[in-house]
Amino acid sequence: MKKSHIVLILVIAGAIGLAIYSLQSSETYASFREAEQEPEKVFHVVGKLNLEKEMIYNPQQDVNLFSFYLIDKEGVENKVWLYKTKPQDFEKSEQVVVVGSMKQDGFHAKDVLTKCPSKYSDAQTQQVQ
Amino acid sequence: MNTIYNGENLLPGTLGNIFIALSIAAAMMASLSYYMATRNQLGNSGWKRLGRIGFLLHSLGVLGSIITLFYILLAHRFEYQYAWQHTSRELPSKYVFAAFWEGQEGSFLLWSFWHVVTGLILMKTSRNREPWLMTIVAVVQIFISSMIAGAIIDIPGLIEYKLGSNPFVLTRLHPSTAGMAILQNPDYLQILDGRGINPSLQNYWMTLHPPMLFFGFALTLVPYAYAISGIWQKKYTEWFKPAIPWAFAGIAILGGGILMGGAWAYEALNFGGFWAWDPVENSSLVPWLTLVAGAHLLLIRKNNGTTLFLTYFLILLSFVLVLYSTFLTRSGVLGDASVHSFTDLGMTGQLLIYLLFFIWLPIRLFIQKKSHQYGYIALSAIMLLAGLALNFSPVIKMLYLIFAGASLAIAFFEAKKSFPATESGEHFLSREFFLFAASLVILISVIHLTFETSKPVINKLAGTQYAPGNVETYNQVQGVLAVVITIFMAVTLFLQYRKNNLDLFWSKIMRTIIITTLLTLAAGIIFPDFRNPRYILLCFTSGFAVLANADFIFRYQRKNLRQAGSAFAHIGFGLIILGAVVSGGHKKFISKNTSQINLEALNAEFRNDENIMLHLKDTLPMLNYYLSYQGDTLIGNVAHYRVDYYKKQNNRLEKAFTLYPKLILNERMGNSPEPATKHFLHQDIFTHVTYVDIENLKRKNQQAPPSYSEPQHFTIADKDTIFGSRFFVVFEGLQSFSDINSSNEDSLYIGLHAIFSVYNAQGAKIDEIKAVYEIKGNYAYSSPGTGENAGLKIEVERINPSSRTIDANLSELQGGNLNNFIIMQAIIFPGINILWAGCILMILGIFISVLNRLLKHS
Repeated sequence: MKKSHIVLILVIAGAIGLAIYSLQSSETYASFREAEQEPEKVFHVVGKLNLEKEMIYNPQQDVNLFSFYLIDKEGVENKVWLYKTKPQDFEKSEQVVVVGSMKQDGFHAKDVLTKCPSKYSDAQTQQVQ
Repeated sequence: MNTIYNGENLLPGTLGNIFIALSIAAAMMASLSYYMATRNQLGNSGWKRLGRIGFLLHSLGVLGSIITLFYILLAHRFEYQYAWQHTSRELPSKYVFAAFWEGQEGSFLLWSFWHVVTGLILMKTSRNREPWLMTIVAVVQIFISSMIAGAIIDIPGLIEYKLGSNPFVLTRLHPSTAGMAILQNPDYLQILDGRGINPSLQNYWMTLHPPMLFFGFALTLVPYAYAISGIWQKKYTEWFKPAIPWAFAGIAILGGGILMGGAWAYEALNFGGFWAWDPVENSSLVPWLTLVAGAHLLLIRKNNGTTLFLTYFLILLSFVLVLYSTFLTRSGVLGDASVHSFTDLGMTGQLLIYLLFFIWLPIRLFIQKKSHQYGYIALSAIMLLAGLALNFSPVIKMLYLIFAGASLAIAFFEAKKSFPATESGEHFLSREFFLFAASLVILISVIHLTFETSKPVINKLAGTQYAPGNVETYNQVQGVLAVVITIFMAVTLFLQYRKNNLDLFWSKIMRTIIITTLLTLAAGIIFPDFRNPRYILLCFTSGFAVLANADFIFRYQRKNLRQAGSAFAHIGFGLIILGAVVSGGHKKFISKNTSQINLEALNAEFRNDENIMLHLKDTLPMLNYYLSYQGDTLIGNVAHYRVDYYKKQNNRLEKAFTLYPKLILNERMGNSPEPATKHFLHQDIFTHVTYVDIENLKRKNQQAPPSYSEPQHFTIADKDTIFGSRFFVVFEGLQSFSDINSSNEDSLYIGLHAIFSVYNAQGAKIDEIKAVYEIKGNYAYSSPGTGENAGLKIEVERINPSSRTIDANLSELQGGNLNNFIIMQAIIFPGINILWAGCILMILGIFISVLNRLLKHS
């Protein structure tokens, strides 16, 4: 067997190992229910805002704390504590992804991703005859 | 009944569609003719000439549709949906380029444009390889032109598929806009205004970055076409020489495009950094990495065996990964995994077919035996049909995976059979082996990035729930690989091809190792931050790469810098890595929250104190600066927040500089913040408003002009201090501005300035106010002085010469931006200029080496 073959095999093994490692260590999407089972782990929860419940952002007291209610894809609602400033136009976001862990008093999020309405939102989507 | 619409100009649309049809038809003609020319052994040039005519017609079609689209955008012809969506009446015409490629159709046209440009150059320069190369280019162009066809393929009962998305669709016919009520009005063009482009894209980056990136993408096609021609003609290494300049030009241009994207993110976006490992960023970085690895393998003399296979693999992969990147970003599969949101135009299937075709093509060409070739084609067709029929059920997915693996194995063994035989005796210590090993390390990096970026695809196929990787993980894995790569970069130039003497090799690189070690130690002693074990290794190896290549130039290329291009490029890349580690790894949030402590949240795991609140006119110490928020101004739809930075000097605060982070207000597309950065030679200070009370801003805008409070009365002498609610004001004294001697007896005139200095609570002087007091004859006139910064008005009521005092009235500005605050982040990026210097050096270095190569051969 040639040296280049040995190196090639080593590299392929390394790449496969790395791929498995990166999947193994990857954070995953989950629902509140699944996140609740492993309060130590970080999950990404996708959901919609509950605009009827209060959103509290009181920067005079704490700039890095914002709380709101999120309904996940299974329809479960939870309070979310976001340790960041309130994102701009937060109320307008169609979909929200929170990254963090489930604790006793709600979901503690270190990060949030918001998806704003698509560009076409004010034009009605209709097929013309 | 049909409505007659007034003022519509349907000619450009018709013309545009004719141009698109021409470009597709002509690309078909070119590829067919050129293909026939490859089979022509007799040497007559009929087919080749026809191919050229076809490609020229295709170029005409592409250029024609580009010009037509530009006309529609520039003339604001809102009867066309593309113009309606991407321009508006108020959009300055300098953003027409940004508007052009903001949409997918425009960006496909841009891509197509660069393919045409490179195709025309290839046609001129590739001589006897022309038929093979141009067949590939023309086939690629059929695919890309069809992306903007917008044709509906309708075989009743079997297929109904919309091929591509057309930029010349009328607003009243486009599915997304046809429902607008305004379009019922026959005179809608009089009142309709377009949407314009997103305010965060209205800048010169959006004009420069996409064309550069797409030019880079287009340049990966040329090495791909050369590699295919190599397999096809069974001349496996002859194409290296002409392909090398193309490949390296591609590295420079694509690299420039990617780095420009990083610069954009750093300057104008709010990531707080220039690289965020976003899937869209990664998907353009990955083809660049494979191109870098592949192009370096092209340099190996006597490239054969496994190395030759790897060369083909990497070169072919570069273009395939460009297609994959298009697939990822345009098919909507990334969804919410990326901050770059692209609209799904329903082209997923089409993009997937293209991608698979260009992976499949080289594999099929590697197969030598006629019977095996037909077998493989038949098998592929069956797989495709099965996939379409069974709608990708789990069984099919497994079969596809097996098929893909088997195809790769077939390609490998077939290639090894037909490649020139390996000579015996490989040497570990040789330039070719180091290049081979370094490319494999890059390949690992590529596999990791592709895997991470493809998580949404894996989720779709396997039903898993993997979330996008976080920046930390990326940095860790890629950081380790960068350590290895930078070491290779440092030493490889010092090795000859074939066998090397180990002792000689050590003696050549030893002095650089010693110098780098000393410098790293020195840096660790001077800068305590530098001792972080996570970064010091990468700093050492990238510094090693920089110094070793500098040493190489000094030793061997000092007299002929034209040959030093590659060493300069390596220095540049080393500096990029060094700059990235120093600025990214040691970036410092100076906006640490020190004053507010919320006990409730103190123990929380994800506690973050990177944001800080600044009250209007308030001054807070942060690291070695004092920051003061001085108010906001709304200019047009952009809110500017003035943040003053002070430094303490001799126990007084001296103003160092002012930054204006912005918030671009846009009701429809959302408000987007834009940071402001103060650049120094050794560091940048980045300031970014993360939260403001927008409602407050709107209220303020509707309000009547700010008013002053009821004046407070003071009697003060020189150097006396008045305490206002937010500042203290020192009366500096009276100053005469009239010439007393000139006044005649009849009209006595004395003009005086009462001078006041205004200080904030930290003792920084923020304003100087001059109030005017004039005496004309028997009358005294007073006009108040105002201080913009302090929001104060002072009027001198009377001067009391006997007591050497004055009576003054002081009023404070109310309303306006009172009771206002911003929440902001301030970050120091040390040594970011190392990175930018590296970028420039790398690109220049590559160009020098490409030019040197071209000059040598011509």
